[in-house]
Amino acid sequence: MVATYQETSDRPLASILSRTKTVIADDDAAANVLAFDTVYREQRGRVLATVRSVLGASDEIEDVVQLVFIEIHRCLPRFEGRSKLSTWIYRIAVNVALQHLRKKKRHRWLTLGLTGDEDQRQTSGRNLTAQLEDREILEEVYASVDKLSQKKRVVWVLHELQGLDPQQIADILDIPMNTVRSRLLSARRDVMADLTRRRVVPEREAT
Amino acid sequence: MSACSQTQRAIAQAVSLSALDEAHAAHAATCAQCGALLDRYRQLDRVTRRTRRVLETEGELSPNDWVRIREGIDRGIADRRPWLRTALVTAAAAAAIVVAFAIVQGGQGSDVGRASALALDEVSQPTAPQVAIVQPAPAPDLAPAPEILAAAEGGVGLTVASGDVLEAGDAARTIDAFGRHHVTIAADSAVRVIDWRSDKLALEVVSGEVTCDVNRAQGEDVFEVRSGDVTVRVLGTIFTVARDDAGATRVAVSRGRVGVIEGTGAMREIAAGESVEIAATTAQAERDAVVEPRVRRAPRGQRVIQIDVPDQQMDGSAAEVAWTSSLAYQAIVSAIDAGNCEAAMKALDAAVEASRRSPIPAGAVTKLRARCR
Repeated sequence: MVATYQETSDRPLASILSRTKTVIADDDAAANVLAFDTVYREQRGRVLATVRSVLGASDEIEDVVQLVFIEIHRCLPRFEGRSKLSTWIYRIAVNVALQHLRKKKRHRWLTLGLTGDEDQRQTSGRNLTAQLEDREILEEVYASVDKLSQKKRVVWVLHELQGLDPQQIADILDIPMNTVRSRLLSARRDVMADLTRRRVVPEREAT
Repeated sequence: MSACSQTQRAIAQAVSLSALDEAHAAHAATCAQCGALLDRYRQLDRVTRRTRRVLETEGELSPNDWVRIREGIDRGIADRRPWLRTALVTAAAAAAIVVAFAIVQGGQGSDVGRASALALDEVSQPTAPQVAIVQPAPAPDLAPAPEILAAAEGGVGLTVASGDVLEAGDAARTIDAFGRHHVTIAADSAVRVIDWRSDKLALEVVSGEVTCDVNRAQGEDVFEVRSGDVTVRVLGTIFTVARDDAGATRVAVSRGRVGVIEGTGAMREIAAGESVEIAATTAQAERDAVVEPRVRRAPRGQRVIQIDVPDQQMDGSAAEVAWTSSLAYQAIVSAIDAGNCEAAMKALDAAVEASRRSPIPAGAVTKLRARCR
């Protein structure tokens, strides 16, 4: 079978798959493998960042990323290109990460940077003190994020840590944009209030 | 609403502080309270950006992660098929139970089980016509079992093939055919198997007497017994076909009715309680005289099976079965297959006459005539 796909510029997946259209695949499964490999190469950073931002740093991030890609592999043949591939990937990553959170319901940061793999991934140019300060900030921030509801948490994470605008978040979560704004502002107030209370954010007295 | 309220509201609702309206920013620069609020939000923004940077420096997925993902995918695919494993396990368990049950039944059935096993082990080659000597089974340890020979078409029990000759010894033997028909071969009698299929069972009386209890509930089955050039077509009944040393055939019907087709092709129906004796024709007598002993005795003890006889209920409507064109057609085909075209042509005319209510299709008649030529 010759894998042929409709090449449409506004359909990211079709664009990706179009690169493999000259490949003669033995069957649909082979074509799916080709498509999945391409998706992995181009989306792994996004998946990792999303999972990491939702979960925070933890020794289970790689496991969750694995689950995300397993889900992507399972659902990729059914992806019809109705939404952007990145939106679709975000949605899966967020859902899998939240599902993992619900299952675990436990705090993170216990092993950040302390296991072998994590140690090897530390940027070489940064000293230990800076790493510890960063870790402390992360712990404080996620201590506040943990107090948010999952709905607020996802919106806050996608906007503040992933840099997505409200419209993108609305597409990913399939909710109205006003709902996104509402949750985002509410989450921000809650986080700021908690961080201020714990003096992570200095509360300057009015002069 | 005061300017402070509007500015604080704008700060709190700003998705991005950089997009804060200039008027509100100017007010915050001059208002201590609003300025403090804006400063806290900016502090929060700095903390958030730092958090983002920290997360971004955590590194990328390694090649090992890709390997783990592929393994996870393969494992995930396998894990998504638990129903298949369940089905296989269930099927294996069911098969084991069936086998165990069969073994237990075979062991408990005493001579039944032993005989069945014997039949399975010593079943003859179905392609070679042979003679089976139906011998009584060895005396069982407990109560003697009925002397029944179970036979099925290539299945469990005695394998009977076309051309086989079943000879009863010094006592009558009953063959349970396909769980529906019982064929009782009288002592010192022999029956040749013409067809032994679930949908057609044809026997030829070589010598002696055979009584058939036929349950044609299925309606489409064919059961016939030949004696010389006499064919007894069963319509659902119990009947006996006997042949004496001179070649004469006697047909007695105990229940239901049968159709008797003589060598001349004429067919007559015999109802319950009736009997008919047909002398051998000259041609048949000559054929019989030429034929050497038609029964060759096989080694004793071969293919002896004893089973319990299940109670059989005759189909209540069996006696009402008509001599249909289908049955006539099959009778004629049988005659043709036996190489007796003259009898077949006569039988054809007789069958057409006998089946006016359900005539044989003209096309079939034409084909038969062409075949006989």
